Amino acid sequence: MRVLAFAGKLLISLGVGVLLFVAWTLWGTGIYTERTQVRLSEDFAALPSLPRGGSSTLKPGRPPRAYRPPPGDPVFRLRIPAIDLSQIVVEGVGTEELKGGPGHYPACRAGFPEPFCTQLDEVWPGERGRVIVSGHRTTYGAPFWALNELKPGDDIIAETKWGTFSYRVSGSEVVPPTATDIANPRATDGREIVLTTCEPRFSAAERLIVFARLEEA
Amino acid sequence: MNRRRSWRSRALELLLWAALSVVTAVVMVSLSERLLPSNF
Repeated sequence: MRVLAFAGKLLISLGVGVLLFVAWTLWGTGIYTERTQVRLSEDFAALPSLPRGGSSTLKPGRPPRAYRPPPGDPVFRLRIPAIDLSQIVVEGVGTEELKGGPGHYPACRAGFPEPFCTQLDEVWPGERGRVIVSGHRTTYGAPFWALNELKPGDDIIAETKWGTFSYRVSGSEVVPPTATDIANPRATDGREIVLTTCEPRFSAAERLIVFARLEEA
Repeated sequence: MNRRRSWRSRALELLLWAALSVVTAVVMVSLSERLLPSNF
């Protein structure tokens, strides 16, 4: 009888632990990200404007060549009116960076270990190539919760310190997690932005990729 | 024959079980951050 009572209490205790984990995962992480976004938003607003780099052939624009923000720094605001999203994007797509908000896929350099970086030059909004932004689907505020609701023609706006760039959704794909070729900044000759997240919700079985092309600068 | 336990002993036991719950949650959070992809 004593053993049974002990086993019962042990199971209840473990069960409460699992409930605490679920509560933290679904809500606690969201509170953390919300607070971080407030701070990032203030930090981003305080940043000075940057001159557009590049020659006239590189229009509509890119940041200066020396622009190399450290991990977790705010780099631009991402707005998607169709799903009511407005988030500060941070530099880096590692576990720690994505806790603060969607992350911009960086070039491999100090503070950005593989596989969370590219050996190629990173691409910024307005620049020729593929801007890659990754975000949480289920936890940490779930910024990309409704990414599957985007339709061709929907606007994706990147407000940077060197200009505002409006992209238009061209399509989406669901790919296996092994499809790492998506994260190739030089996969296109055009100017596009790619948003990636886990698919379906509450699962990491696949990845949802949304493609959008630059419309105007 | 059952002996009545003091409130202090009961409170201590409750505290231990609560601590086990918290440890379970912390271990699961740590495991989930290691095992799940960064954009889950």
